[in-house]
Amino acid sequence: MKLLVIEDEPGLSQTITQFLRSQGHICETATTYQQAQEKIGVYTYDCVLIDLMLPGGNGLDILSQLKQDHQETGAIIISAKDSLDDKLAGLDLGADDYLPKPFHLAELNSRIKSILRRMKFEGSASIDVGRLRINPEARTVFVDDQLVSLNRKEYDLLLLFIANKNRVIKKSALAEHVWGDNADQADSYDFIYSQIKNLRKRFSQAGYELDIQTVYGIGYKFSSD
Amino acid sequence: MRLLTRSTLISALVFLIALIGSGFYIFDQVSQEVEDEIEEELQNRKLEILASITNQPNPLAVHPTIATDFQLDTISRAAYTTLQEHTENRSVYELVEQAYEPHRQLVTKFIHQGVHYRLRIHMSLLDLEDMGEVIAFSTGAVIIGLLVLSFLLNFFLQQQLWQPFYSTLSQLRTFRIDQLDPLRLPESSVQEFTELNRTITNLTIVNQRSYQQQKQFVENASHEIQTPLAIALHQTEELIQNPALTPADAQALELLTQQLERLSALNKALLLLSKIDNQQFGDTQLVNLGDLVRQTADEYEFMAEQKGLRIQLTIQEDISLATNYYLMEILVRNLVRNALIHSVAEGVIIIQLANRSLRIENTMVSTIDRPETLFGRFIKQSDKPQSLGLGLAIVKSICDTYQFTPAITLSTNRFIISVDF
Repeated sequence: MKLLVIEDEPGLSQTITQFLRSQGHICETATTYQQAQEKIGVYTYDCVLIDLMLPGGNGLDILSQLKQDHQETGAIIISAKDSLDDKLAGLDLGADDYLPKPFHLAELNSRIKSILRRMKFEGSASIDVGRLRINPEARTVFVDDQLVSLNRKEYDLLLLFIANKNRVIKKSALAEHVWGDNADQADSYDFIYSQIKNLRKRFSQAGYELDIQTVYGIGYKFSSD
Repeated sequence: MRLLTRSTLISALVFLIALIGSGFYIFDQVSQEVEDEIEEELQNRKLEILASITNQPNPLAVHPTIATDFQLDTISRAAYTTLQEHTENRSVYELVEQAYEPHRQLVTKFIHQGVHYRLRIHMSLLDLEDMGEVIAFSTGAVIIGLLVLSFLLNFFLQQQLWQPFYSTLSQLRTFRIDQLDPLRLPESSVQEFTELNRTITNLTIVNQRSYQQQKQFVENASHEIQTPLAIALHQTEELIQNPALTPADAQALELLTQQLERLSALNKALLLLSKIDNQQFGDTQLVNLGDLVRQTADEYEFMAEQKGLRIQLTIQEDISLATNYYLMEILVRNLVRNALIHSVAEGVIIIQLANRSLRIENTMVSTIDRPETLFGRFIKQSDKPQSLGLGLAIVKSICDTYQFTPAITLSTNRFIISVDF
C-alpha cells in the first residue's frame, strides 16, 4: 500500500518508514506543513500518518484538507501531546485513528492494517492466513470453516499476531495492546504467556497448531507461511 | 467590617465627643455671657434704684420690701463696714414656677442722709436654665442628625465610590492564571483605583505569560525527551527481529528495552504531575466513583490472577464527585495497581467505598518506616524494578487539587491506604 508519513522529527520519520517498508508498503515522507500540503494535493495515498505538531502549521488542517479531497484515504493521527482535546478534534475531523506517541511499531502495524482493510474492502474482507479465516466485522475466527470461539482478549491477541506475522512482538507491545495502559507495571509478563497458552489450546481443540514461539524471553512470534 | 463603616464609626465617635465637648463649651460661653449680662443688669438696676431714692427722705417708706426685685434694709454701722459689695446666688420661690428657682443677687450698701442701708437686688436665672436645656437638646438633636446623615452617606458612598473596587474584586475572584484572556480592569476617575487596576493588570499579565511559558516549557521538554526515546525503542523493536540473535544479545536487548520503556513511563508520569500541579485539568464532570472502582478492579483482574490474589470489593454507597474524569481514573488506577504490585502473593486485596472514603488494603512484604513519605516523589515502597516511585505522588497531587485527604496506616503486615473525599 502507498503510505505518507508526515512527521517532522527526522529520526522518527526514518524508523517509521523503515519499518513500514519492511512490511511491504511504499512509503513517502513530509517533514513540514507545506510539504505535507503539496504531497496531499498532488498524490493519492492509501493511508496517511499525521503528526499534529508540524513546523509551519497544524496537522489538523492537513487532516481536514485530506478528508475533503480524498475521502478514500485513511488517516491516523500520531501525536506526542496525547491531549484529549486534540483526539476529539481529530476524530471529529474524520481521522480514522489516534495513536499517541510513543507507540510500538507492532501496534502501528496493526492499526494501519485495520484501517486499510476497512477502507479498501469496506469491512467485508476477511483475513486469510493459512487455514485461518478471520472476519473482523463480526470478530469471528474459523479454522477450515470451523468456528473457534475466542474471548475478547484472546481475539485481540490473535489479531495483533496476525497483523505482525513472522515478526517478533515484544512483550510490552502485546501487554499494552490487549490489557491497555495498565499492563506496563505488572510484576512480570507471565499473564501474556498464560493467555497465549489459552489461545493455543482453543485452536488445538479445533485441530490446529497455532505457531506462536517465544523468543529468548524478549517476545513472541507468530509464524505462518 | 467594611472600611467605610469603620471610618464612619471612628469619625462618628470623634464627632460625638467633639459635639458633646462643644455643647459644654457653648453652654459655658453662653452662661458666662448671661451671667455677665445679669451682673450688668443688676448694676444698672442698682443705679436706677439709687437714682430714684436720691430725693426721698425715707427710702423704705416709698419702696415696700415685697413685690419688687429688690430689698432695702437698714443695717448697723458695724455691719455696714464689714459688708462688701458682692453678688451671690439665692433661691427664690416663684409663684409661676411653683418652686424655688435660682436667682442672682447683688448685695450692695449706701448711706443716705446719714442712715446705713443694705440694698439687695435679685434677678431670675431661669432664662439661663432654659437656655442650658435648649442648648443641650439642640446639641443632642444635631448629634443624632449628623449620625443618621453620616450612616446614610456611608451607605450611599459604599455603593458609589467603592463600585470600581468591588468590580475589580469580583473579577479577581474568578481569575485563573491559565485563562486565555487577560484581565480587563477599567480606568476610574478615582486615582487610587486606576492605579490599583493598572498594577493588578500588569501583575496578572506578567504572571499569565510566565505561567504559559512554564507550562509550555514542561510540555516542550517532555516532547523533546519523548522523541529520542521513541526512536531508540523503535530501534530495539527492529533489533529483536534478527534471527541470528544469541541469548546473551537477547538478554541485553531485553534489558535495554526495559530501561527505555521505564524512561518513557517516567517522562509521561512527570509530565502528568506537572500538568496536575499547573491545574491544567479544568474540565469537570460528575464522576461516579462506584462505577470507576468497579471498572478498575475489572481491568486489573488479570494482575490479581497472576499473583493468586483475590479482590474483595465492597461498595456501600455510590459517591459522585465533580472532578476531572481522567484524573479520577488515574487516582483509582494508581491506588489499585499499587496494592496489587506490592501485595504478597496469594491473599486478599480489600477495596471499600463507604462514608465518602475509598479504602484499599493489601498485605505487605516488610514494614515501612514512615509511610506518609510514600506520597513524596521518587519514594519507593520496595525495590520493585518497575516502580517509578511516582504513583502515589500523582495520587497526592490529584488529592491536593480537589482537597481530598489521602492517608496511609499500617497494621501487622497490612498496608492500608485511604482517601477521604
